[in-house]
Amino acid sequence: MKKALSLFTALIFVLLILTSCRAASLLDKNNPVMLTMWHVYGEQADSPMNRLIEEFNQTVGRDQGIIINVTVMTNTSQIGNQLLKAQSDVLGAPEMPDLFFCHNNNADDLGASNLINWNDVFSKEELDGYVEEFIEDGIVDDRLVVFPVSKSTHLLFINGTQFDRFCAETGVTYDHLSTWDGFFDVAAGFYTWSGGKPFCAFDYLLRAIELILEAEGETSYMTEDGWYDFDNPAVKEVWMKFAKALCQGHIVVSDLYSNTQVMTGEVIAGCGSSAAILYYNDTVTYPDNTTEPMNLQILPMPQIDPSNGLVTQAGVGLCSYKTTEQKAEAAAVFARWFTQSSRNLDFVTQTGYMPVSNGAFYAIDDHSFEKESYKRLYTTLKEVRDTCTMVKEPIYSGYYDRVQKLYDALRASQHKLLKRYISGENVEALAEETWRLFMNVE
Amino acid sequence: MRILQDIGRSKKTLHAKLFIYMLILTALLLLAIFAGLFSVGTLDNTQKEIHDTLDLQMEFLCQDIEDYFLTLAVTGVQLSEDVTELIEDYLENQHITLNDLNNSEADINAVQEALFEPLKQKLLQTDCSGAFIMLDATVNSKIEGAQHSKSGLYLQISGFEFPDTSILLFRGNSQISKHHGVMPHRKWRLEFDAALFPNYDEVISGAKLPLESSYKITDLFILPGTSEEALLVAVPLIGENGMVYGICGFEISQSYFKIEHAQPTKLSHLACIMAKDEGGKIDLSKGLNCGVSGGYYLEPTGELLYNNSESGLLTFEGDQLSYVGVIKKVKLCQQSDDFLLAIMIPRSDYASEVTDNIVQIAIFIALLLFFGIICCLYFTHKFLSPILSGLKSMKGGNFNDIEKTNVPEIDDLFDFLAKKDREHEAELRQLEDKNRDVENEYAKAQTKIAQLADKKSDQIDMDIYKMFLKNLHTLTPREREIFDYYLQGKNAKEIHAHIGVSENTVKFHNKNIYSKLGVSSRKQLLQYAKLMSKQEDETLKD
Repeated sequence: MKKALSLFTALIFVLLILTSCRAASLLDKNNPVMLTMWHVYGEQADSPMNRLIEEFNQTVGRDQGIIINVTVMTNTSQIGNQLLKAQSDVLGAPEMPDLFFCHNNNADDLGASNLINWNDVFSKEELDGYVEEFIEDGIVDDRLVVFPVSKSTHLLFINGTQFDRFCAETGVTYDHLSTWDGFFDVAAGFYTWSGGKPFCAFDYLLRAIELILEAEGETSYMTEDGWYDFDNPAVKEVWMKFAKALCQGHIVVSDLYSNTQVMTGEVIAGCGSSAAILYYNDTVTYPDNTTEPMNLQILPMPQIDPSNGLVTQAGVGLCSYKTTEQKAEAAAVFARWFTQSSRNLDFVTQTGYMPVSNGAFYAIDDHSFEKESYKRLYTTLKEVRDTCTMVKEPIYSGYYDRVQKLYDALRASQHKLLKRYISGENVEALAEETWRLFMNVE
Repeated sequence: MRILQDIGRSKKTLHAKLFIYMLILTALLLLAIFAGLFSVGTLDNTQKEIHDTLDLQMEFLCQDIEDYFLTLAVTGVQLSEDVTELIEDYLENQHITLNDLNNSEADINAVQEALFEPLKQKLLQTDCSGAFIMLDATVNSKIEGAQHSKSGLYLQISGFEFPDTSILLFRGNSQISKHHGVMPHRKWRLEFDAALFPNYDEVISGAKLPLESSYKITDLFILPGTSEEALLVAVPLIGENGMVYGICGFEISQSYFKIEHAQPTKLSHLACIMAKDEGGKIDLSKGLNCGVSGGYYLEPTGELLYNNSESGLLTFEGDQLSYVGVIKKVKLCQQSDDFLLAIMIPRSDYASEVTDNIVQIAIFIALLLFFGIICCLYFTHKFLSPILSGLKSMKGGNFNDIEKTNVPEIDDLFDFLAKKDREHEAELRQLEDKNRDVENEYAKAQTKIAQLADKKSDQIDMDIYKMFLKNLHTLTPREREIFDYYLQGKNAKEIHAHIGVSENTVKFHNKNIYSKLGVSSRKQLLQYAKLMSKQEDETLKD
């Protein structure tokens, strides 16, 4: 009798605990909470993210009372300003989303204290399941506000069909592109071979310069106010290498994304995010409407010393704007679901990113890809991961605005500079002009 | 009525009876109220209310869509006229025909250059997601599939969620586009593929003037290289000589439609569909849809089968979700089939609305009932308290000291009873007085009898008495018997009945008895006999 009573008491106790646990949830299946989302995956193209969200809404979301509503699809270069406009209630701007993907500096601009600290939502054990560096990358003001869902790095995308022709006629090989010196030689050679076509379009020119400076051991190339130290001669030295190639038409600053210029045949290579794979067509179309297969080749970024390479650790992360406790709980449910190993792997392999969970990060080696270009991408990403050190991107308030201003200025002047170079002006003097332009960016 | 009679006959307390009567009254009143509400449709109106709301919403949507496509058509016709004029100007200036544009990169680029800004401006002025001009010419007729390749410009709005939208080049020369500050779309192509252009042949073959009668709203298609669905308002480009130069028009993408036509409504999960009518079926892969402003909707997918339901509402059954709503056919364009507009809410929302209404009514009834019962109890108590208190007081019997109940009838009754009470007391007192008098009289009479008895004994003639005692034994048995009967207090009549002799016989014996004993009357006889008994008793005592 006494035993039965104890058993009954224990059962009641367990039931009470379960009941109290259930009651603690703020989610209500019959009265779902809606989270608006802005994301950057698949703008202008097909979006695997939208399909995943649809899956979430139809399964876990339906069961737990959460609806994710994508209200804006944009891109990584614009989302920061768009979020700031929404936060500032700029006339005509949409309302601030509950969930969004952005860079650390965007999160910093929005105010880390306005965002959910994922450390409060995920347990230490859960966070241990993610790549440590990626988690650290999302910390702003000692708060984990940018939760890693996918990471990218910068890679060199090449129109293989045309580059193979160029190689066959000039003896150049892909190996020449492993170092920056080799890269600039190939770019110059291609310019001559093609009759004046630039070799490569850069999406993130300054990042390439930063990594060279770091590879050369420069640690203080930036000032405290978050811009470049123009008194550091190493900064100018590296800049001038790129500037001369730019003035001579060997390289260009991309029109925003280099893949469009590769597709139109303006250039045969593009330095951009690994995620650009989603936007590459299978063919190159020339102005006479003839087309040829892209045969997309993907290489690691050139290095000063390939045996000790540095690559950028890029990629936006998931932020949740602080509103209600209920929305915070719903955001956590989505983040857990979205970054679950197998799902994370499926998502990143469709979008050209690196997975963030430890399980998916290593499982990717055994993943089979349908498209040859994706297979090449992940072979290259594996090589990068195995041979290079990943370096976090700078986080300074207003930094990326100044970067965009510099790129806009270079885009506006690069064709004129080339014309002046062709007309006989000194490349050093022209490169000096770009240096002054760089220094004058505010 | 029978119930009332039964209650009247039953042996329930006054309190219980009154409470039941009042409860019945309350129930009847409630019934009357609900009958009234029901007859004016206030109670059973959830379905009707939803139907009316959806109907009204349909009017708004219908007006919105009709106005929208009419405006697009008018603007499209203007665009067609402007573009045609520009093309003809160019051809005239170059002394060439449209056919001469084929394989001429320079001429095609020049035409695109001339058309770029007008198209861009028209796109910015028009509520749409894209604008295009497709010419019946190609830059290279020698390549494979060249018969479907059409030169032209296709500009799209990027980021229409924000006020500072930008424009992208989806089709056209990227260098010309960049000169105008427009970057290529990520899935850019140089020329159109007419094979992928929706209803291309129909628009070209149906091209005729006036343009208002030959523009067409195309079928929904997926923009090549993307997952975006869109439909086009396509207007033919018809020259003065009647030659068809191509097609121009506007694009309405699903993303754009969803944002721009989101409906302001109180129905939080409203879904609106614009699709082709397929007779009892809506294929959502061939239609646009939108939801509500500032909210979300469960985007219907696949096919929805609809049929009539209650209250004029239709039910829409899909693979995953089902809805209820209303539909309306609209003619948006002469050259296109009718479109079906559908406005609907998830069936779960509808069921929840109906349930909520039932629960509200139930709560309302319960509250009224509760209130009614409380009122019945209160008023029953209030009404009966003075009566019951009065009855209790009546049981006490003292009507003079009862407090006033403030119920005139009861107070009058108490006054009446008090008066009667006083009268009875007075009568009682009189009776008691009389009784006391009688008792006094009786006591006096007793005393007097005793005195008389003593007096009589004193008046007996001793000589006669001695003779009485002496001759008593001379009586005959019959005389002695009669003598004893006299002593027992019986009269002559009783004696003759008792011993069975005639009354005259008794009188005869009396005469002998009187004579023998020396008495003259029965009274004297009894007086001597009594005295004799008294002396015999005293002798025995001694």
